[in-house]
Amino acid sequence: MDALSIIPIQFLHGLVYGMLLFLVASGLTLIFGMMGVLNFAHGALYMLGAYFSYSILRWTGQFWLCMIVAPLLVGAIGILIERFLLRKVHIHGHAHELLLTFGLAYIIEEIVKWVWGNQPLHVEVPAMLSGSIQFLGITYPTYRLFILLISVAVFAVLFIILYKTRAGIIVTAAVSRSEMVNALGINVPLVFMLLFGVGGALAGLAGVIGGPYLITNPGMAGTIIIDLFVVVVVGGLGSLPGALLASFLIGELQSFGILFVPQMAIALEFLLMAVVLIVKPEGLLGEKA
Amino acid sequence: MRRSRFTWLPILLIIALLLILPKLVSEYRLNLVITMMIYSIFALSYNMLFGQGGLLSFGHAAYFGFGAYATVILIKHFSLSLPMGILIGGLAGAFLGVTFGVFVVRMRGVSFALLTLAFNQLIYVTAEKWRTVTGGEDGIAFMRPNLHLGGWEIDLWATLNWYYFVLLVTVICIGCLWYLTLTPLGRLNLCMRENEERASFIGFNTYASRLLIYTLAGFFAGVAGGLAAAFQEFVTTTFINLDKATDVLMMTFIGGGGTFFGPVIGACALTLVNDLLSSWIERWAIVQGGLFILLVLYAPNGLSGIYLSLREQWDKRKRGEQPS
Amino acid sequence: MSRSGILLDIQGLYKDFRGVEVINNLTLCVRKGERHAIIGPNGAGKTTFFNLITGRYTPSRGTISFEGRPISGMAPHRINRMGISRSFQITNIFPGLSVLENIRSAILSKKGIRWSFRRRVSAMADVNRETLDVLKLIGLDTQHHLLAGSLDYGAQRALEIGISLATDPKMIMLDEPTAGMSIEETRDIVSMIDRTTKGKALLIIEHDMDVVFSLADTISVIHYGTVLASGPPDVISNDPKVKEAYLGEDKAC
Repeated sequence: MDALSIIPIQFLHGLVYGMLLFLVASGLTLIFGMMGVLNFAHGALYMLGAYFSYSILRWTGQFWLCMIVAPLLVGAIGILIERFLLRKVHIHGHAHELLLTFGLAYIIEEIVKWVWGNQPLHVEVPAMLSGSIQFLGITYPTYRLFILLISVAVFAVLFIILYKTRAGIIVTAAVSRSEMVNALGINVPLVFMLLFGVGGALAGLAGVIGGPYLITNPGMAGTIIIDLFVVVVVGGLGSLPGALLASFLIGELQSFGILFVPQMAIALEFLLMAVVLIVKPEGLLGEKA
Repeated sequence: MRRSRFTWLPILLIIALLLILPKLVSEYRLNLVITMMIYSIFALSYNMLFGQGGLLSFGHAAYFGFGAYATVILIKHFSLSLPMGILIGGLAGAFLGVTFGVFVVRMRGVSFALLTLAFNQLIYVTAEKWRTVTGGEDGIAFMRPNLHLGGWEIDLWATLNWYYFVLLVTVICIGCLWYLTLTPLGRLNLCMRENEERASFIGFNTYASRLLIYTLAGFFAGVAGGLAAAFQEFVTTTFINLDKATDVLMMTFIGGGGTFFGPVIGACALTLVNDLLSSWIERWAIVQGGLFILLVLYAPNGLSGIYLSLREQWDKRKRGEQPS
Repeated sequence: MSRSGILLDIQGLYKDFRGVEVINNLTLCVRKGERHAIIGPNGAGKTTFFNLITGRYTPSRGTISFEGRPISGMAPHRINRMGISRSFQITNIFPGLSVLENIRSAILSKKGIRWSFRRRVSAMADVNRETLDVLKLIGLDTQHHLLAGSLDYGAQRALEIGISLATDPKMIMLDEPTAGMSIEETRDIVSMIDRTTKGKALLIIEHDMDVVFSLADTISVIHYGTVLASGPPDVISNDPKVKEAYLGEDKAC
């Protein structure tokens, strides 16, 4: 492979990871923007998606089935978390909610280790998605392009729902003014619960498609939650376009970081996060409080 | 912090018990008590921010680990004495505390949690990658130097002597931390937790005060880190990673941040239980996580909070009132 | 022109929030020992005006000086240390601390004991004596051990004022001290204010005209962010401009 073609390939790598990250981050951002809850357990929900997918695949052998059933299961868990746990601690404030979701992340990781073991699991991708495709003079793994395709399809749907439908407009309005929406007679607790469900399902879907690519292992929640926090902070707390921009930035930063400054690659995103918090605390596209 | 019925008697009894403990328990158990004491200092330093200051940090391991590295590197390369090495560990923690504190104490709530986490990761990644200084994941091993007092040389390699050394440092540190809560700055910390804006409107410079408290918390975390490294004669990235940062949060929360000794209870309980139960119950961590969630849901002031409210009810009953 | 005797001097003050002018060319003076009431309809900018003086907000334009020294744009704690103390319209105390501790924190600040490590606070006899004095003054000495957040509303309002008083300011600013109080509570708090602020300059925002007339020797009417009229109570109550803007509803009756 010549030096010139490595640039577009690294770019694609970064794009694929960035988009996968956004798939998880979108739910986290909406939940944060609307409810002020920073969901520490969001990475754990993503991990559950990957593990559910592994088990469903072993029982049925149908990868496509995983893509439907696993996100639904994770979404249901998200709803249960909001309804029966988070709502109880709401009166104690946001730091307390953060503590609760931190405890949930901790326990989900331990349960995953208990049920599926500490070892990384191999998840087989369908035959039609393995191998590589040649285009524009480069060769690229089909499965990664599939991740990209699914992610972009999900955003398209998400953006249409959020900005073109009545329900979506309520949600985006609630991101900045939840008390106002409450006053309009909309059942805010129900919206929150559904938001947790949808956010969880998106994270679960990301787990299903990300599992074979990023290796299904009990550490995957801890790895992605750090990246997610960076995305939420850099993009702007609660800003969906900000999360998209930040996911893209983090993906490319990691991809090219490993290429150019391998020693510093992991540190780059924390530097970026710290700088953003110090210079522009509301984030790149966040609104000033 | 609730006004506790503090009397010297239980404190003196505990110190007396700790003094004669080596006669009572095995060397293995003695080592466990050393671990408890070190984590007690760490958890109490964390509680200056969490329970007393109302700030939720996910990055307190940075100061613990930085202190540990400073202690080890200076003792190893400059043949410092152990007390000096541990003091330097504390000063290193304070230095890092003031450096990061300049930025983090501007934040509140979730932003504070995130920024402390970012700085913790930054310092963790540095420790992992700067192998020439830190040894990366392999860490640095060193020998605990003996203590020279005048003409005497005390062999700190012997568990008994080392135990008394840690006990002395722990008593001094806990004494200082206790005293600090009674000084004007300690009281101001509570005021800022309750209503930071009002504190500034009655003439307190809350930013500078928060920074000073953050620095002091860094100092005691650094001392704990230096002690921990000297105990294991080794320092590695697990001293500074996110798990260490969340461990101290769990200890403090489970013990209860609302009382002074709550974090000590949490540190001792988790250390003990992890040691005792991890061999019996295969998945003890699930139980620990479950306990944490139950406390978050039903007893936000932790075990010591449960004790206080039980005692309150008991008092009411004794006085013949209806228990609430 | 002699400026002697003037404590607070505000000239041509402006404040806009994203282009909305809330304070619009406001000029006002407070003399030493003056009892000055600020009245005006809701949304006239009275609380914003207080927030500008005490450093919660920075003015867009104009000057604020206290004892001849400019204070606009200073941090709240520095303004307080120069001798201005305020209370808040929405009760703003330390709810999880004892009543005693609420007042004592202000006493410590007044005495400049902030970062001293030499003594425990409970061992500072003078601090504790002065705290008790203030508690007696506001009538909360028997409840000193209770958590501030557990007091009833009237007592919390008294504590709110007590915290502001305890820093022993040259000028005390009270933002609607009687808001939400019953008639008896109002009477008690007004006599308490009168008793405790003797000799100090008082700047008070108040809607209850009985309270205003019993406490103030000067009244300024703020309307649309500027001073509509300023003068002794009898002059103000007969000012046609004021009647139209503020007491306008009287005409309808």
